[in-house]
Amino acid sequence: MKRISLEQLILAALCCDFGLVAKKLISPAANIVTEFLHIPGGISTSFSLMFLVTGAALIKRRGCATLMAVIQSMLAFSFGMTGSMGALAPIAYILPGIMIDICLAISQKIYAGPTSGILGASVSSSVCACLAANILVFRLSGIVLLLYVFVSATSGSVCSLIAYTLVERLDPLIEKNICKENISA
Amino acid sequence: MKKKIIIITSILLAVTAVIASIYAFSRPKTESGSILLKTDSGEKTINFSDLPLSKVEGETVNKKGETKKISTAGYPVSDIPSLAGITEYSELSVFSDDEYHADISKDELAGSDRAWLIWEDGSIRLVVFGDSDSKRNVKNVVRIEIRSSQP
Repeated sequence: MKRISLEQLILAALCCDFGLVAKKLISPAANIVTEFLHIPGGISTSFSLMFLVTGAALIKRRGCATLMAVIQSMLAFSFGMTGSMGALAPIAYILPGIMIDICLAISQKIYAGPTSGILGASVSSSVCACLAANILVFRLSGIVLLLYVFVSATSGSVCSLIAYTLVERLDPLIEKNICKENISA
Repeated sequence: MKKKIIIITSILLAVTAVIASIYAFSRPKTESGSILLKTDSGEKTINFSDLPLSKVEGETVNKKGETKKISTAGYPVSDIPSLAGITEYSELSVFSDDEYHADISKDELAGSDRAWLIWEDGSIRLVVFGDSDSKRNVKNVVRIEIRSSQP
């Protein structure tokens, strides 16, 4: 098994932090949209998950997104950022992380690269997070739930576009650094 | 790949817009300051300003353990079923404008004034005293569903 480099570890840590902070930053703007649609959320989580997708697609290690999600849930607990989920918040963090890993692993197998799985990972993890929040807190049903799921999927899809652009630009830089490290080792 | 993402995003956006329109037309509408009471037998709209309010005093606790003093006028939730002409019920669900809701059982309301509807920041708010967090303090209350039996 290839060793994970220091750059990759720093990148993973940064993605965890950015994900948490991004959620707080985008919440006021996201609330305007969700209040207009009369649904209890679904946008800011996708934006937060975008960083996990970006990190996992750049690091290219199995279980990386799950590990980042676990760290994120621990950070959220220690900063008191658990929202209305309280003690059940780790479930809503870890399940989307697992979903990202599954999607990226499938993409790696089929297309021999994680970039093709970014859209699937982002959309499915957003939907997974929104369904977890619905089961744990909101308990919506019918057309409200359908709208909530589709808003999450759409915001996940929009975020995948940003994640894809980030991966496209950062991946060559990271690969170059890893090559340099291997040569010097 | 980018083109594929843009196409899928556009499709999702279009489907979301359709669902949002259907939801906007189908959801029950209530005017500001009024509450829709929904029972198994029908619906009734009440205006909060028409209700005989009484003094509410107490403390609520949020998830961080911080307490907030409440001293205002409000209407006890335990009296809501009688407004809808209901005497036998098992549970009340208080809904916010964004469909977030809190459930209060009849047993919780019996013999105590734990739950109140108060007027706060231009909207109706549910406060439940004695809870360890503020999960059931629903903002912008628009609908109350009264159930006669557990779903």
